Amino acid sequence: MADSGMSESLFAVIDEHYGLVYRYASRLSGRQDEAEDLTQQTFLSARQHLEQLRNAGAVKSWLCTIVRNLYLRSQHQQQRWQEWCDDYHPVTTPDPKFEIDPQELQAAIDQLPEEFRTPLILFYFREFSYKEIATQLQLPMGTVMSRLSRAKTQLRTLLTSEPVAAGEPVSKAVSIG
Amino acid sequence: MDCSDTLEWLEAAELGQATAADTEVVQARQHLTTCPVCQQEWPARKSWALQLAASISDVPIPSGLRERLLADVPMPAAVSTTAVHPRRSSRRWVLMSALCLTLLVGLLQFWPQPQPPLTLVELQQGLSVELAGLPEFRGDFDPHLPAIWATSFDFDRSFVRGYPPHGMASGQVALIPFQYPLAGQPEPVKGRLLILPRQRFAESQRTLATQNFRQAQVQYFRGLPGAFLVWSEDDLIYVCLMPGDPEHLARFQRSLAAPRSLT
Ligand SMILES: [Zn+2]
Repeated sequence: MADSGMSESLFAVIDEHYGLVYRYASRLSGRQDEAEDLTQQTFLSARQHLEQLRNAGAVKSWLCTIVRNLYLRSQHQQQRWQEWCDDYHPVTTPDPKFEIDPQELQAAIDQLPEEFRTPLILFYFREFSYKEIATQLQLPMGTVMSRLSRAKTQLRTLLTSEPVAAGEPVSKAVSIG
Repeated sequence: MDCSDTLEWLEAAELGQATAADTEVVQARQHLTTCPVCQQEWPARKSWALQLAASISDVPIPSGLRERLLADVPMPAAVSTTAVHPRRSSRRWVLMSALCLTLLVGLLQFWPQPQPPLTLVELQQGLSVELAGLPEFRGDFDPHLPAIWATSFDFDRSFVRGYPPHGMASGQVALIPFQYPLAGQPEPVKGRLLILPRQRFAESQRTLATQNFRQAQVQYFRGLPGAFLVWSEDDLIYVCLMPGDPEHLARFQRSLAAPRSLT
C-alpha cells in the first residue's frame, strides 16, 4: 500500500473498512439504526477530510477516531449523574464453559462508562495494539491499560451477575432525591 | 510484576495487542512459570478472553449496507483521480463540477438558512459564554419563566439575551442569567436558564426533557464544566445550567421545587 492517504480512494476506503466502522459504531451506541447513521456520517466526514490523511496505514485508526467523535457528539454522550467506584473488587474469571449471550453482552457494554467502553471494544476487536489504542484515544498507555483492566473486571461482573464480594455493588449512583 | 498485571499482559499477547518481544510480556511469562496463582487462573482467563473477543467482534452487518454507503457517500473527484481504483474522470467533468459547486455556494449564501437543531452540548456552552458578548434577545417566540420559577423570580425582559451569539442564530434561544441564595452557601449560586422552542431542540434528545422541572434529573457531560437540568413546558424546552459541583444544582432544584406556604 502506498504511503499517501490520497492514493486510497474513498471507494476503496469504504469497501475495505465499512465492516469495522459499523461494528465499532454498533458496539459503542448499542443500536443498529444509530450505528448505520454513524457509519454513513463517518464516511461523509472522511470524504471531506481525506486529503488530511497522510499515512494510508493509519486509515483504520483515523476512521475509528471519527466514529467515536461523532458518537460522542450524538445523544449518547450525555452521561447520567453517576459516579463509578474506583475500588473494584477482584473477580475471578468465569468458568470456561460459561456462554456469553449476545444480548446480555451488549447490555453489559452499554452499562460501562464511555471511557471504559471505548478501549474495551477496541481491545477485543483485535484490530489495534495497546499503543495504537492509546494514540487513538490520546491517552498515556498506562491510563489505557488501567481503564481496560477496570472495564474487563466490570464486564466480567456484569456478565456473570455474581455478587461481588458478599453483595457489594459494583457501581453506586449518587442519589439526588 | 504482580499477578494482575501478569494476566493483563498475557491476555494482550494472546489477543495480539502485545508481542512476545515486549518486555512486559517476557516478564509476565517469567512470572507465570513461578506463580501457582497465575498458573491456576490463566487457562480460564485465556479461554474467557478469546470467547469475549469473538463475541464482541461478532456484529452482524445489515444487508445492503455497503451498497447504501457507496450510493450515499458521493465520491470526491479530486480523490478519484489518484485512486488505487481509478474511476474514469475527465478534465472537463472536473471543471464542470467546480463550476456547479461555485454556483451552488453562491446561491446558498442568499438562501435563508434553516438553523440545525441545537444539541445539549451546544446549549451547555451557554455556561461559558461571556454575557457581555451576547446580544439582546430578538427571537421569534415569547420566552417566559417556568411555572415554579415564577414564584421565586421576577421576570425582567431586559435581562434576556440571545444565544448562540453568532450571526443569524442569535434569536434561536433566550438566555437568562440568574442567581439564587442557598442556605449554608456564603454566596448565591449563579446559573443560566436557556429557553427554546421544542422544534429547535435536537429531536434525538427530546426524550431527555422531562415533563416538568421537579422531575428533571441533574446531569452533566464528562469534560464539560457544570451540570444541567432539561425539561419541557408547553412548547418550550428549558435547560438550566449551573457551574461547579452538580450538587449545587440539585440543591437549587430541591429548594425551588419545595412546596411553600401561601404566607
Ligand atoms: Zn501470579
